[in-house]
Amino acid sequence: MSEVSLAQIEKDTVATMSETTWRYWLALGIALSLVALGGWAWSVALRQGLGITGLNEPVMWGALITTFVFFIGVSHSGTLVSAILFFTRSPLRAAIGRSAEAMTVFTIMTAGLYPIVHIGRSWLFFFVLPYPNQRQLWMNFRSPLTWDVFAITSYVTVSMLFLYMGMLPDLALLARQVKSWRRPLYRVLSLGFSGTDGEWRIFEKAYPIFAGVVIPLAVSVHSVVSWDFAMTVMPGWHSAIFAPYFVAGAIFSGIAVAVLLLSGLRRGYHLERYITPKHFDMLAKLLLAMSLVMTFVYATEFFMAFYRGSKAEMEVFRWRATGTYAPVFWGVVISNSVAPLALFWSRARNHLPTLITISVLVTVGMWFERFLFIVTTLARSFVSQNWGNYIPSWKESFICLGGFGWFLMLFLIFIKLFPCMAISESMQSQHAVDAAVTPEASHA
Amino acid sequence: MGAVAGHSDEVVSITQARVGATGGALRWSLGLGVLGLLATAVFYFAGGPSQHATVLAGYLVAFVYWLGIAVTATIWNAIFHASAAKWMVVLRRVLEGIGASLPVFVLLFLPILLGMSTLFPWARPSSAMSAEELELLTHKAPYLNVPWFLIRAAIYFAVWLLVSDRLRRWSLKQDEVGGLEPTRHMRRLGAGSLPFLALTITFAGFDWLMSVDPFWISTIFGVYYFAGSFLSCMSLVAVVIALNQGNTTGLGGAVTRHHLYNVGKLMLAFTAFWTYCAFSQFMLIWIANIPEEAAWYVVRMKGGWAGVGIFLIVANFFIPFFTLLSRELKFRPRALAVVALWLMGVHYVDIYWLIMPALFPAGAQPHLAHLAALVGVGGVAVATALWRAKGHFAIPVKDPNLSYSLRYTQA
Amino acid sequence: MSTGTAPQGRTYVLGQFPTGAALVKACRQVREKGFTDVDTHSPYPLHGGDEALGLKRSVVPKVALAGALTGMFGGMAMMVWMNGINWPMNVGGRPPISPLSYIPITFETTVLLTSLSIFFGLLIMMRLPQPYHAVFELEAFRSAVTDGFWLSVAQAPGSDGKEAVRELESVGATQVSVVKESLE
Repeated sequence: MSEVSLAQIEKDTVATMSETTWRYWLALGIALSLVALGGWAWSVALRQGLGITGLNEPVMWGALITTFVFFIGVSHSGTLVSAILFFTRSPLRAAIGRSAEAMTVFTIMTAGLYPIVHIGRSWLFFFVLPYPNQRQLWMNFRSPLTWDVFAITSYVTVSMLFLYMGMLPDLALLARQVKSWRRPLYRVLSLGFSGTDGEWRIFEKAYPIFAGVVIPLAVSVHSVVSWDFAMTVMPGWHSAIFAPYFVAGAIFSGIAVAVLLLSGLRRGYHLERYITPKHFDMLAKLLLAMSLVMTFVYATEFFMAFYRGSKAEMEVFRWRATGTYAPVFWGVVISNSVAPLALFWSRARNHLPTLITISVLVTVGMWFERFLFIVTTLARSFVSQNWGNYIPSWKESFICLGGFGWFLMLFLIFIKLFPCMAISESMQSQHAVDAAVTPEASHA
Repeated sequence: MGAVAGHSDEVVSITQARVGATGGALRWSLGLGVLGLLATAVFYFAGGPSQHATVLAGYLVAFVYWLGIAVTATIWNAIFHASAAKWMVVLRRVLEGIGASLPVFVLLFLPILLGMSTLFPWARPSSAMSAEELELLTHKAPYLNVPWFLIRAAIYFAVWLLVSDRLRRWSLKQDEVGGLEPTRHMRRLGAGSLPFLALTITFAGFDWLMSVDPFWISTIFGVYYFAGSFLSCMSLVAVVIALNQGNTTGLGGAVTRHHLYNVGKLMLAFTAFWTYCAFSQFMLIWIANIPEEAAWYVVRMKGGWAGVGIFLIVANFFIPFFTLLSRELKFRPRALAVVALWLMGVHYVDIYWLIMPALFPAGAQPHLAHLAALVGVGGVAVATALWRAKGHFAIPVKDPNLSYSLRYTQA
Repeated sequence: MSTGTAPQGRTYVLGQFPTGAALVKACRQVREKGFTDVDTHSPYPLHGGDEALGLKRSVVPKVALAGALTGMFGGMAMMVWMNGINWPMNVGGRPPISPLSYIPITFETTVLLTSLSIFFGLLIMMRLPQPYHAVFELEAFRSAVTDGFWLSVAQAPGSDGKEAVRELESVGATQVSVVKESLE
């Protein structure tokens, strides 16, 4: 990025906020329609109850919980990619870190909706909070579902603060620069940060600690989600490797979504100079690595089902690959394990349409992978008289699609209001480049 | 240590130094190793059949302990190549050196082969087992049988030897020819070999550690073994750095406090990772409380073993984690080496705790043979590594990224 | 401006510099001349990596640690009291006080309070939010972000700042302005 002048970086970043193309309106239109569709379907569910979904005995967790797990997963890579690029002092961070963090915040806000939808009487969701109440009851803190509540509220708070804190210098710059109605907004949000030496010293000390705290938090959140399943004794769920396996799957799906968002952003706002093939190459390599990890875990799980020697578990895994949902299973294997192997070739990594195709496959594949392991276990657990199938109803699917629209809507609004590239950080890395070239400046 | 990087004339002096003066260390480690192995053999044969199990199990612990470190050195190396990490170029020879001890482990595996029926209950189903246990063993027999066990072991060793040897050979070749070509090869091999390395170390963990109790399973077990070994390997690197501190014309002259700091950070990260794996496994089993899983922990939470478990939590997480959080400590070679030695010691206890309760449910029965085996296997492995490092450069002198690595700072 | 009896705000003399390095150099020179209340304003941190090596101890890690400890003990104490003491709850035969199953939430509260304490600690240490600062009055201060290297010298109320203006010009400022703090 060093070949681009700073004034240009600033101009292009501001342009993403002020210039609105038909592409943007189209994307926003799609997002809003999906939100309307999902909102309507949810309102039906609120009035008539969860009977409108396909959920029934024995499969009581279905598409809604799948969407929850999926979005929690997508949220992870945003934080992790941003924080890891920060710690490795990668120059790649300035252009994509902000979007990645925003993706985290909005996906987790989307994810949090689904358990609330799923509980049916959604207006009573506050029962999960520990406050003194008339029922004179506390929640059961030994339940992973309660852990979820704490994990997700912590995560949404911390990732928002992380995003905001990283944006503070940029907001201060924009408050000075931008005219129009945006100015008061940035002025209030920048809190009067004026870039004094003292402020920078504190900022530079605090931000790394924050980034360091965010990484284990992200890992813990998806581990807790995995324990929702693993803490039970259900065949196919009760597996100690679930926590790292979920974290890997989370990063996997998140990187795929990040590729899609970034390529959209790049195309829509002509950010080719900033979001470069280097970024996509890095993301593609990560995608490949995570795909291999996923394949490794799938294989281990099947092997372990045999090795454990539990009949119920062997049946679940046999049925997963050959039963009603076998087409889904083999589709998942192709999209998650086979298709990403193409990324071993650098030509595939550097060919954006190929990378986008693989990312779409992985995104869809990861949703179905979550669906598969949730449903097959419930549909095929210990008692054979209690076996049954599950197919999501139309309205249920609409609620899930609404989540995708909701996420896209939030993200689109965000890039209109806030800089999607880190201006201050670009200047800093530019400064580092200058310092390396002219030794005099490095004594600054 | 430290002030060197950046001055070209001193870099030249470093790049001319070959590992030579290891004579003393080589002789000592070889002597101790052979002595240890002989002592183990004496304990085995002189102690009579009643001692066979404890001596063999002690040997297995020592073998798996050192082997894990040697294999994970290759994995670290492959990861650094795959991620194109430039800062660690000066440390690459250390990792390659540790990995170069792998061939001797093929020989050291022989006692385990010979003692299989003593160590692994699945190799000798006896009438003392319950009907369910025998049925389970029959079910597992397609996997847990002697020929297939041997073939797997051969595959593991083949993968490890091949990868570590190739990486090392390209690296040494670069010392002569220089250029980018070897780097390209190493990066490709590093990335491509990782899936195989991951599979083999996981399944080696299942085979050599978990199947000591063939009725118990944990899907994360292989990762747990890997996590501990990975941490110990990085600790060993920290120890090697501290030992070479005075050696200003070799490794000590090239490695700065900034490299050391990164090593410390990785140790910190993998202390947390080990704890994460241990917690995932233990809490899951504790909370689900299924008899066939819980039994493994019941043995380890009662009697003499309870204290060991608590010790592991404190010694492998609380003490090192909070110590390593200190920024200053990670810049000080000696202090970091103390923590590193501590972690390596605790990792031995960890492996001991994984294997021994299967044979001695009542409590640990320390035996001098255990110490002899630890020293024996370790001494021979270290001697092999030193012997193979002799005459080569202590750092990859013609690596295109060497100057970056020498000047690396924590900005 | 007249020097009446009404209370007056301080006078700020602002000088702009072409690069960060020039700003740092000028700042050092101005300080040597005896101006004490000098501050730099830059779009990114100017000092090199030496601070990052821990030469100067910052209070931030201590604030973070305090938050972490509060979150850790507070979270654990909350659960022990609610599930173990106030209303002992037996779920699946696990002990009412089972710290092992409290660890995940303890971790989350630890991280949450660490982050909150860093964030609010940061605001307090930076004395933010700062609704008003005289330097924002200057139109030129809002110049392109890319050359926003400014040095501000605060002078006593009523000062005309001439001396500081001369000084800033002599150390190479490309543009010097005087701003009065508004006390409205």
